[in-house]
Amino acid sequence: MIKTKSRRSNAMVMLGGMALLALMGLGLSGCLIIPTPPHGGVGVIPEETIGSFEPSTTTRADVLLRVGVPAKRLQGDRFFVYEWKRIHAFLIVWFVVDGVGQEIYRPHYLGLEFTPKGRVKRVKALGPSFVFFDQYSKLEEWMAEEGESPDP
Amino acid sequence: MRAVGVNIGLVLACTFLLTGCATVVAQLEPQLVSERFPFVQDGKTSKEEVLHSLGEPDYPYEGGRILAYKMCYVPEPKWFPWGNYPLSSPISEPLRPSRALGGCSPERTNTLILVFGPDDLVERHSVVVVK
Repeated sequence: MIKTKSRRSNAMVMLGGMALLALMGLGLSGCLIIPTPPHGGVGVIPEETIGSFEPSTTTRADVLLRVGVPAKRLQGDRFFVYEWKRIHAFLIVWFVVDGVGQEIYRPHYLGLEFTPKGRVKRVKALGPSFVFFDQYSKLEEWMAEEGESPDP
Repeated sequence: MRAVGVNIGLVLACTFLLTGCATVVAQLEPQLVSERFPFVQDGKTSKEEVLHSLGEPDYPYEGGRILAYKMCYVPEPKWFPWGNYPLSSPISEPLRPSRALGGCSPERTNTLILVFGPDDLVERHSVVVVK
């Protein structure tokens, strides 16, 4: 257990180091990545909408009526996954006296689990923890976690 | 050096200004839904009528109790099913393939959701838009 944790933290440190090196490399070559708070984006599901999904009250129909069809339907509609992208950073490339900017979009996810009777069981919203790290694997972990416990 | 700093600042400011707005997923106002889909009425419209008007749904849920149609909005207003081209329609304008219109990007795609009751009549419906 401790060994696994230690390996994981070593891997995280290594990944962090690599990201830092990549950033430095980009900076030295005339590029700069400026992380920003998440903003903008297309098809964003607002936090208040996500907050309105109440476990054991909201039905699958309610969810569909409010936010439309999901990007993914998993395990016979037991899970719905919605996805949208928001700006998390800017890539600035500058030349001698001029520069251009480009926004960097990263995915956000909303996972919903339904009971066999079609009511919301759990809700999970995930955004990228750092500019480059996609959180979909975390969402998969979240879905797998509940698979191990019995349905109420 | 100062000029470079000013330029970077300008690039940043412009980029922020141009990308600050988000499009959000929301329900279309019920009044607009009624205007655009007058043939869909809760408690009155049957599943058969819907299937006849709009064709097979893009996404059925719960064994067909919930039907979802991807719609493409083009100004006037006229709505076209995303992938279904019914032979007849209660909408006065003839339905044409939405992809051929050229103005139906995924960002402009909206969804008509219909929930049916046990009697196969529309119980609730909404149009989810990206705005």
